[in-house]
Amino acid sequence: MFKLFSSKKVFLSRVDNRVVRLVVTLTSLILFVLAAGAPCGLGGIGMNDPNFCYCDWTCNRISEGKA
Amino acid sequence: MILIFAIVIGLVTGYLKAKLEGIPYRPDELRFLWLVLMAALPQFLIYSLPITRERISDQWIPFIIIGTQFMLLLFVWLNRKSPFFWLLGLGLLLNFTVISLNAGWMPISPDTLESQNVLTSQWEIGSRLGYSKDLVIAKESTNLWILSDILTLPKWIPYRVAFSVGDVLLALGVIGFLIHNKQAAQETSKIYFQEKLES
Repeated sequence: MFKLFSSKKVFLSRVDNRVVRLVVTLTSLILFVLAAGAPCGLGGIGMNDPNFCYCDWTCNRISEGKA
Repeated sequence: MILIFAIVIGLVTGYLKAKLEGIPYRPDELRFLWLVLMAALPQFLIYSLPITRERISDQWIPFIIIGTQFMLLLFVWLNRKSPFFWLLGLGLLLNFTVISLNAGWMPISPDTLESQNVLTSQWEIGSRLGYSKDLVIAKESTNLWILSDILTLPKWIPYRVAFSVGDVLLALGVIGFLIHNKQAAQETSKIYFQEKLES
């Protein structure tokens, strides 16, 4: 039991607290901008290729009859 | 995608600035992160996940968009003391206003779509654009047209995109937040003076 706890302690100490905090902050900011803007960041309306369904902004819903 | 690019710019610039100043890079800690998760999850279901986005009726989208934007506004308000969150909040508020005044959709005009070479077979006036938050509305029928998705990138950039003034403020706010490293600088100088006093 004691060994188990001590090994866990060693593992945790390897992760820098600052790195964890930075990763959490960045992940939150990414989710924030995706939700505040659009799935494609600022709202991509597609690439030149109409068949390239990037972020689904160019998905042809009209011709699919889903609109 | 461009807002993600803003995060990368802010992160790289902030890190390099901290390196030059010889202090650790540590952006301010954010609180109430669960609000962001609560806002991002429904949007993931209506925009990205094929199984759900095809089943959720377009009639529900305005309620989901306004509800999730409100949650984000609350998140910004609760973190208002964080650097540049006033700018983030202003951008969000502008988007929220124009969406609210246009029945819960972000308006995009046929002119903007044509300028971005989006085929006319891909949109219809009065219909949702793809699986997006945008609704194609004529300029004359748009409330607060100036705040809608009217801005585009220069022609020489191959990425086709339309964005709003609110999005620009959001991007600037994110960059400002990530470059700002005052907390780490203050902590470093505090430690420095403490060491000086002790010696």
